[in-house]
Amino acid sequence: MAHGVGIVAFCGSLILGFALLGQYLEGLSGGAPAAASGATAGQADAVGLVEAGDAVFHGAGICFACHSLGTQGSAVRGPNLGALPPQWPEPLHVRAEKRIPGKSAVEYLVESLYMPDAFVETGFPKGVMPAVAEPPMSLSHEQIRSVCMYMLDRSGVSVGPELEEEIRKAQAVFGAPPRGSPEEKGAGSVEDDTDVGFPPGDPAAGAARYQSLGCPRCHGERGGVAVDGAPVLFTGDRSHSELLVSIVRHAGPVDDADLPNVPELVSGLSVRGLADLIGFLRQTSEEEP
Amino acid sequence: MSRQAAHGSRVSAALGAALIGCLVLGFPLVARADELESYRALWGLNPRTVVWFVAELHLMFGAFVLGVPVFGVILEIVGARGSDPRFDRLARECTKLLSAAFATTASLGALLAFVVIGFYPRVMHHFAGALHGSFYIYGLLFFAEAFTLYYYYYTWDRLSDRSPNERVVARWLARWLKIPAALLGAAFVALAFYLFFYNGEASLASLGPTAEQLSQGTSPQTSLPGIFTVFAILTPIFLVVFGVQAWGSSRKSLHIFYGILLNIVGLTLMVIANSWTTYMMSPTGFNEAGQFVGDTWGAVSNFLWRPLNLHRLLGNVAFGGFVVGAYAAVRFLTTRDPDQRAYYDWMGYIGNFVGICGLLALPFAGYYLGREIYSFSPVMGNDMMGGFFSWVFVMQAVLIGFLFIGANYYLWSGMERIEGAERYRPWVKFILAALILSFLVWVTPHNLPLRPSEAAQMGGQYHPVLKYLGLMPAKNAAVNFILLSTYWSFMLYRRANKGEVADWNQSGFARFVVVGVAVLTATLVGAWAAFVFRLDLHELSLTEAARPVVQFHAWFLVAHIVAQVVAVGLAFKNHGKLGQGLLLAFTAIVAAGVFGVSGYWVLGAANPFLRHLAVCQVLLVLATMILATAIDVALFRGAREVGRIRWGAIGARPQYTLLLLCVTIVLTMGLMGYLRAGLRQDWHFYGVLRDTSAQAVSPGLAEMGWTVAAITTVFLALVAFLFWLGGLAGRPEPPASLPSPNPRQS
Repeated sequence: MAHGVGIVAFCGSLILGFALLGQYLEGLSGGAPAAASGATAGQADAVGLVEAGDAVFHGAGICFACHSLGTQGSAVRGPNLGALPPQWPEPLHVRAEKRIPGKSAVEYLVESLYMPDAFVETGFPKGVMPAVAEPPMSLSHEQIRSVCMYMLDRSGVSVGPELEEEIRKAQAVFGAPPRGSPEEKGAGSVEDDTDVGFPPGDPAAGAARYQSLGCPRCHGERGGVAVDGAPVLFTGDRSHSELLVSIVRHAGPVDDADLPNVPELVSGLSVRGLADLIGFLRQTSEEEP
Repeated sequence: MSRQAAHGSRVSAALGAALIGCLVLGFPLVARADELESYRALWGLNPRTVVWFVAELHLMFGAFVLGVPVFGVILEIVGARGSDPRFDRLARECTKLLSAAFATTASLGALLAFVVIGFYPRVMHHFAGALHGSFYIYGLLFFAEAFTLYYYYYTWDRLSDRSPNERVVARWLARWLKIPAALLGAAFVALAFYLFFYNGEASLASLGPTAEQLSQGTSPQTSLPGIFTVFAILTPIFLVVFGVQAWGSSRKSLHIFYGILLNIVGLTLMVIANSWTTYMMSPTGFNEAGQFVGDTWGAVSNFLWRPLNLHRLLGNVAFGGFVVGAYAAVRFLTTRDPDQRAYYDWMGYIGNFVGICGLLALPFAGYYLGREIYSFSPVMGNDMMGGFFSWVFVMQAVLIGFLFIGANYYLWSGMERIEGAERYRPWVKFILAALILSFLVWVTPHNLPLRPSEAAQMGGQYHPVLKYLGLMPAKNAAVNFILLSTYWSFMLYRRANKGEVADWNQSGFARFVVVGVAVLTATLVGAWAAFVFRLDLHELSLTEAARPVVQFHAWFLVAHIVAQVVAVGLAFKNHGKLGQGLLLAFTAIVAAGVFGVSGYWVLGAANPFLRHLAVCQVLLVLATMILATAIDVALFRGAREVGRIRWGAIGARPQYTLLLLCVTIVLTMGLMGYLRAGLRQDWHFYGVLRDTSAQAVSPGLAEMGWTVAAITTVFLALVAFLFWLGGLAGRPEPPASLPSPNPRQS
């Protein structure tokens, strides 16, 4: 009997100890999680976006798990997003500006979030960082904008409405709705986007771009031919943003090493270049039977 | 069959039919997706907590009923081949515990199906759409499991005769089918390992699944249906040949055959159920619209299935061993009969031994699972190790520390009852120091919990020195050191009452087994070394500048092969203990010391290689344990015994240690279940079907702690009740003539 009581008491105390350990560690680690992980900034001002971005960086985005920010953090899975000599001597915005000729720092950063494999630092593997706007992370355009603001703020860039607008413009390529649009109020992921009032583009410039990129090789002279599984480039009644998303996100890699990798081709284009290309494809779609 | 057996079979058959019935009936109820409610609730209960509770209880009971037969059959085989009747008695007693728990496991499974169908109809609709083919197989296998289990248990006396079958035909079959049965068995095991535990080349190369593999099921086997067909044809042939050979040998052999059959059925049930779990984490076969367009095998064969199969198989063995050990501890503490105390003391030792066997390999399987989680989804992986769930691993480290230190303490306490063991007592303090230091490294988090003022004083968020202990190189080094220390404890226990070893040439065939084992371990290490030497760095997005980093580690693998050869050579020169010691020391220095430090170099200069480095460490430690054990068995074969083992002459503290181990492993299973389910965050099927319920938030550590504590309490209470219930049938008497108090070491 004595041992029976002892056995029950011993086991009970172990179990209770476990529960109390969990309680203690929760208090130590900052408390229970909020009902919704990560922060949404709403129609916040630029400074509010920076704070929201901090929350996304350390919350819903889990960016801190792979990226340090200068001397803050010691994650080494991904590139340092701050300045840390000797490997990272310059601040982020300076490196980003130099990364791709013709692409601004903001455009580079935004694209790196939506399409992380478009540019990968040497020494870091492809296919590790997820596209943050897609499942399972499914960050909203607003959260992505906020984390961009946060990173640029930490890099020493002066944040304000102009910077926010620049980020919005870069995001438009990926289907982010314009400021104040009905879609912005209710939009979440890229999947919820509608037409963003994209500029129509110059079909003639788009035609030249189409040739210079080598598109006819797979899609014919005017986009109406399908070669080796490449799709016919018929725009139909799809919106500009749908077409943009289709080009930059759904154009997948090809297996043949001799064939061009479409994301790499289009990733060098500016927003204007993409608009021109779409303008040309719309024209050909209307003209072709 | 006795009335009791018939009743047991009827109950189990009814449960299996109920399970199939609820699945079949439930399916049409969820067939109309467009009219389905997403979630339901009842009586104000939190549906997620209800499912969590029932699922975890089912998992715990399942672990027990699947883990115990694995070592139960091995015990029966050992007993059949030797002269110690305790092994057979223990195997039978384990099976008795099993039969009591089986019906509860099945009932909980049916209850789980009901609550998931009831509370999550839309989820079950998706589940059924992808996996319903496996549901029917699972339900039907329950009949096989029930019938096999009860037949195995109730024919124990009837099929206990070990004498050879006297019929001429039987003896002829037994003789001529021995080799075919062995060959078919080897082929069966190899194919089963390949199909159910090996995750393919993508896993080795750390590339992760390709898009095509993700959509179709990610193993190479899905593109090689021939292999599965071969396995499906081979299995019944193997079972028939083996069964006939066993029948021809003796009744006992036939009984053992039924035990093995029970394990095959049980493991099949486990892998099917595992596929449902991992499908929620790594779903396959969905198109961009979220519609399932794959097939059942592709859905079952998802990316995380095989790593979980391996982890759960080993975990079940450890779980079963420690639960049996706790049962023995309770029986020991509550009896005054010296013979019973001796028997249950021995039973507790066996339970602890089985638990340690599973425990030694578990960290590797856990790392493999974690690595594949990371390969499948870096988001999931980062969340697990560096995000919300990182503190779960602090709790896990505490529990694992309890397990290893507790298991070692039990061995050291057990050495008190062995005459001659005092020679090895001085080692204990060094092993304890190694365990505690390694545990402290393992439990140190990367992210210290600091107030802002403390962070400001420290100059940052991370401690300048301790932060390095929170990274993987330190963790890998610590766990490998813990494993080697535990292994060394066990080696000392094995030789505690042994004197000088006999001449190596008198160890008979065992010497050549050592050579065979050495060839195997050297080949394994050598194959990995060759892989590392020829590694295509571009596939890891590395340049040739990283080649020296990679080759540095490969050369140490080569050096380890040399160490293995040296160890075997020394054994053949009658310096086997020296050879073992050198091999263990070299492995500890390299796997924990050199690779522990070089891991930071890899982190900075060749990050993607870090996972390959972990495989290097695993292989070295595994190879060392296997080879050193083979040498040990041959070395001490025929060694003079200098003392006896006084079974029963042990205090209460070691028995409470066995209880500690049991409670701890149950808590660990609950904790890891929370982690596995929580990694999906707010997804029912990760990345496919979002959880939009009101409970779509990961519970914090406090809520988890209290819930898992409650589940553990209920589980232990149920287990205690079932064991008591099983004991009402009458307690088995100790063998009429116990062997001398100094049997040969197990």
